[in-house]
Amino acid sequence: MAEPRRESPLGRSPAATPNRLIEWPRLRVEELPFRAILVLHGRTGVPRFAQGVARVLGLPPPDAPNTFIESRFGPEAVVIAWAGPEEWLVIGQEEGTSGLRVALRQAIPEADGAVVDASSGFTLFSLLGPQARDLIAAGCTIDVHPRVFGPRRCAHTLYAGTGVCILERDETPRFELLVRRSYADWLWRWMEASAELLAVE
Amino acid sequence: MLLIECPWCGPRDESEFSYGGEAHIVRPPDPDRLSDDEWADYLFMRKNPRGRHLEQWCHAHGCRQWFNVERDTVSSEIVRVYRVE
Amino acid sequence: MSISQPFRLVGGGRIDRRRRIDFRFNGLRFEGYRGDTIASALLANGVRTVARSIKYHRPRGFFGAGAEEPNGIFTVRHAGVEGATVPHAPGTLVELTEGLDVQAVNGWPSLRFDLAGGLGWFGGMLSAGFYYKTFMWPRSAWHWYEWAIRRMAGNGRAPDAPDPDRYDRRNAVCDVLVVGGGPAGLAASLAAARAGARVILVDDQPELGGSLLGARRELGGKPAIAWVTNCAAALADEAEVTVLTRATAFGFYDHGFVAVLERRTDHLAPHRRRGPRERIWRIRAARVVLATGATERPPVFENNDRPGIMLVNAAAAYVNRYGVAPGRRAVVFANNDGAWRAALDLAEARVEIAAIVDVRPQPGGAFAARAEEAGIQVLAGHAVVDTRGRLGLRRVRVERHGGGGATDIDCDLLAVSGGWNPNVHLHAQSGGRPRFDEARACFVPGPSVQAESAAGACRGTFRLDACVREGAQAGREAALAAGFRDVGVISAPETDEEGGTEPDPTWMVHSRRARPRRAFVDLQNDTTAADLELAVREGFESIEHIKRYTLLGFGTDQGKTGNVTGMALAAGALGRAPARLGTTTFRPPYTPVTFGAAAGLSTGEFHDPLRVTPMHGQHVEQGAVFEPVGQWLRPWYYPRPGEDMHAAVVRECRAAREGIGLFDASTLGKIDIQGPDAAAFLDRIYTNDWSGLTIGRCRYGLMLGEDGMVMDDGVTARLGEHHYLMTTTTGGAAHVLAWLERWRQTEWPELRVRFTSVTDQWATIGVAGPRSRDLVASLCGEIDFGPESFRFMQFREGVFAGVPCRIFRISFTGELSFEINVPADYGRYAWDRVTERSEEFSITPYGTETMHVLRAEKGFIVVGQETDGSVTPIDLGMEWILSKKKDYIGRRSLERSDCRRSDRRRLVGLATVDPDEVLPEGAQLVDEPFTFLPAEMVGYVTSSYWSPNVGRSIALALVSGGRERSRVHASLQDGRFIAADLVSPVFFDPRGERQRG
Repeated sequence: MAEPRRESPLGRSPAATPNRLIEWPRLRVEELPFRAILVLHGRTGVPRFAQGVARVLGLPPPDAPNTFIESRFGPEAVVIAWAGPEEWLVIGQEEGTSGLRVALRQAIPEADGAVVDASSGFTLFSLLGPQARDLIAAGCTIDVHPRVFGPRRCAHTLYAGTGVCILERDETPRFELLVRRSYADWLWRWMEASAELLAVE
Repeated sequence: MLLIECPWCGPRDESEFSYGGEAHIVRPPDPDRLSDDEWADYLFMRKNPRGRHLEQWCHAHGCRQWFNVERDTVSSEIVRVYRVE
Repeated sequence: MSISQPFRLVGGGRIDRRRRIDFRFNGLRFEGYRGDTIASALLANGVRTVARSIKYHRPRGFFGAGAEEPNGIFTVRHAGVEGATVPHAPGTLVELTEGLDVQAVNGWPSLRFDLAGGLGWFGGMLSAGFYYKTFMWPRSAWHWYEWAIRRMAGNGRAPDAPDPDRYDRRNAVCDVLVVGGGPAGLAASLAAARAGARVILVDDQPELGGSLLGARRELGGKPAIAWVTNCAAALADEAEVTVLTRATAFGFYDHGFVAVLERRTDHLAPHRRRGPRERIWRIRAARVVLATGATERPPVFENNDRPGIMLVNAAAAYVNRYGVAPGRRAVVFANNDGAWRAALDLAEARVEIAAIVDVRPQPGGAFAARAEEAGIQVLAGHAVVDTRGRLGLRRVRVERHGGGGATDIDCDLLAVSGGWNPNVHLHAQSGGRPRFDEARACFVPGPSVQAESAAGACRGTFRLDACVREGAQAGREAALAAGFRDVGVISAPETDEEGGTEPDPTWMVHSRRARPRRAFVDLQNDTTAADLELAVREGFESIEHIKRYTLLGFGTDQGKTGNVTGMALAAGALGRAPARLGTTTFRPPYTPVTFGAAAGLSTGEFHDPLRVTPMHGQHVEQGAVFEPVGQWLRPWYYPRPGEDMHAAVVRECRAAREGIGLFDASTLGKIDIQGPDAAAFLDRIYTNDWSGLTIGRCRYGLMLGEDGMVMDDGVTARLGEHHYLMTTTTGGAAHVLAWLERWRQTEWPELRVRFTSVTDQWATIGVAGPRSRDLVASLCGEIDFGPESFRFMQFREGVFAGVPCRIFRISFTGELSFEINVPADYGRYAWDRVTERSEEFSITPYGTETMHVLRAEKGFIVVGQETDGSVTPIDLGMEWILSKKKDYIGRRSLERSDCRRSDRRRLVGLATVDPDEVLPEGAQLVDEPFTFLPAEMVGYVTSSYWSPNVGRSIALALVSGGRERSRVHASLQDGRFIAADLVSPVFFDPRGERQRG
């Protein structure tokens, strides 16, 4: 029997180089596939939950809406993004070992929270370059101006009519868009068309 | 296009929200004790004021939280938003 | 003056005379310059008649020089690009570009020769309400009248070819939005920018300056245009200022939301156009400063519509901005001093001013001396009361205001001004109510409802330096209100010009000798003063009704020149002050918006988001025909070469009951439910019992609305002590999740339960048919698939072809079947592992159509097909799923008398008497065939198919009283009736042995 083969929402295989790329002089978009993505539920006010998370990820989940924190799971960089008053998204490195999921499940008592694997259910798009903000503004009403957004800010919102989470990773600017799998192909094509219109400005 | 202040996420475009009708309708604890008329009152009867209205909204495409909004139905002015307690 | 452009002035204007541009108008070639509009170029070429009026077919020329233009509306094409046609473009706003092909809109059959031109002679026939009164009888003839009227009235021609251009959309947020780049708007933008605010300035012209582009004014002792240049440069230096030119703010909506149409490429030569043709900006502004200026108001008098009659400041703009003389010999007719300045501009450009006619006894103020100096004849206390000239103005008749002393003056240009109407549109759209200012005789913004303020002419301030001061102050205050520092009072340049005496509020003038019949108020709709009077005589009192009766203010120009005058005249006829009658509603858009821009990118494949499953690529490879279900694209059926839909579905239906049918069920909604109170929560949400479900088992659940009507259904599995996986219908997933959250958050916050959508996480492969067990067992070795150990409505976790999986033994087909769930990343891989065994196991992929047939054979409902929000579980014969031991959402409603009526429509099966006849879905059912209506409808068909497995047509229906009837007749649209017997809705394997086998 063949080795089970994974495929990202944009049809990319793990070992392969990016099969689809949006590349213009001032804008670059690529898929960051196969990341470990978990949905975490709990209350930071409940010590067993907050401490459980902190034991695994080094820090408790952030309380401030529209923010994320960067931490580590062993050698791996991890992002914990606020998604609701009792909900977070944990984004790790390439999923596969599933160590992150197991560690969090073990650390959080069933009565105090929940951990749900969504690694296959989402993908990440990275938006890089001076026109990244324009590409966001083409499909989204969130104000990503540096005065109000910025690194470690995130927003769950609508982008081109699809539900996404936008994370600003650095001031380049570099954004990451967390996209639901079933919408990914359509949204990618939409971004390709939008980026083409932007690129000639 | 309204600008609605989610009590958690701050001001967001109306397109991120879904409307839930009149706020503070409480489900009767023991429906069997209610007459058909009383049950119908809970089920169907809603205020439809010209002016201030207390209504429920859900930040459906954001933090998925339900909350209350006091809104003027004539001017669309949002007087206040507050969490469901 | 050049030969080709006889009315082009020798110098002046903001045009680039080195760049000639060829264009066509009604098939003839003309030449203009870069910087021209269609209007200025046509005037330069001496083209005066550019339209026929809509009702009376009177010749018309350009009346304005901007967005207010009522007459010069054209179909604008670009040579060689059929789809790029704009059917109704004002020639005063379209910039001249190479290859422009302009066609008069209201010119059929031609501008010079007009079949209907004689209409003017018996025009009394076409008074207000003429269409309502005349063409309503006989009603059957309307289609003929309509054809003739529309053809004569003329309309722009919409292109047949698809629009080749692209359009997009941009969202923006700012602290201060300034609308209008004239003196007030520039000052406001600069003041707000200096306070540190994020500013967006939008202006509809190619360059900033507003009214100053078309007027020779001074500010601080220098040409005002130099001040504009300085302001524009200063704004360009501000990092947080965005200036959008060629951009019209066309709508002011709730909470500081303003929509702007930016025209990005139309002004470029076709080969230089890149990117979107137009862009809609959706701007959310903390504060808005309206500096939208004012529109000049024409006086109303007999025959005030001939080519050669135009607004005096439009005439000055053609001279000053475009270097074009709109005529050679002009009469200026005005009631305000500003018009005198414009007249002097014309005189300076060597347009002979035959006379300035002013209704006021002592007009002109400081300009009076200059007029005298220039040797211009002034007729104070006089009025123009009539004009002559069939295809263009030749002569005007002047009388003493109030009557008497008639003289005729020859001229080819009559420049008119009846004062100014502030452009209060956006203020009104924001919720404000314009009020009538008696002193200035115009509507000005009323109290602000939103975070908005007005400055300059749109506020009724007409003195130039006052506009600048007001703008600066408005910008300063807006930034302050948006939370920025106070920059203090900003010094503004002064002008020494006089403000001018207040205008005389003269709306209409006429000769004593005859009531005017052709004194136009709304040029685009041919609405006359007489029409308004007639409407009032016939009893209309509300200005909204008068508008609709007389057409005042409709059309592409939305009555920018005529509306206010019309309202004032209607008020006068009613014996009321204009303030009491009020205005009509100012609705968006301020100027027309193309459908292309409104759609933006959202056309074709981008019309709505599309969702696909991880196996979408395989479906495409296997030749599937797709059907949209919600936003999902699902395989509908998989035709083989030569097969039509019917043949494919028959083959797929047989395969699922004889071999193995393979189905992509990934689109079903999946919600992960966790928490100690999960079971208690499900007990309240579903109608049946959930606490008793043991781990490892699944159960079908039905969800009701609180009104007792079926809302959604699906199978939910208990994965662990406090862990469930709920499935929902494909279309209902988002709604169900919101529903669960709503009850948990607002009614039962004490329940510890958490929901996560995992629809996208799992790929679900359904295999149905007698051999499905063998297939699945061969692919996951570790699970014991023995019929006694892995029973119907159970699930197992294991490994499928090397991938961790959950396998559910559930069935929507009535067959032995399994649903294999793998993480979506492995969906394609897992599907391939199944299909590579196709020959060995005779596996046939089937689509949603076959799924529907198979479930209908079993009498299984589809929510949204058998239900429509008014169907209870009792109506569906599903009393068995209603727990009597607990409360649940909707239970109490099932006790309501209406839900207990015996004549409610109930789910039944229908077997047509002729087994080959397939009923149309949605067909109404009656007891007996009828000849005459009304007939009593006793129900309707909800699902209907040809069933290859039953060997006949089958249908499900909702019928009043259910199977109390034995036979019904379906009424078809073609008048036929099909008889059908009421039977059990379960047509196949009624004992359910196959799925349990």
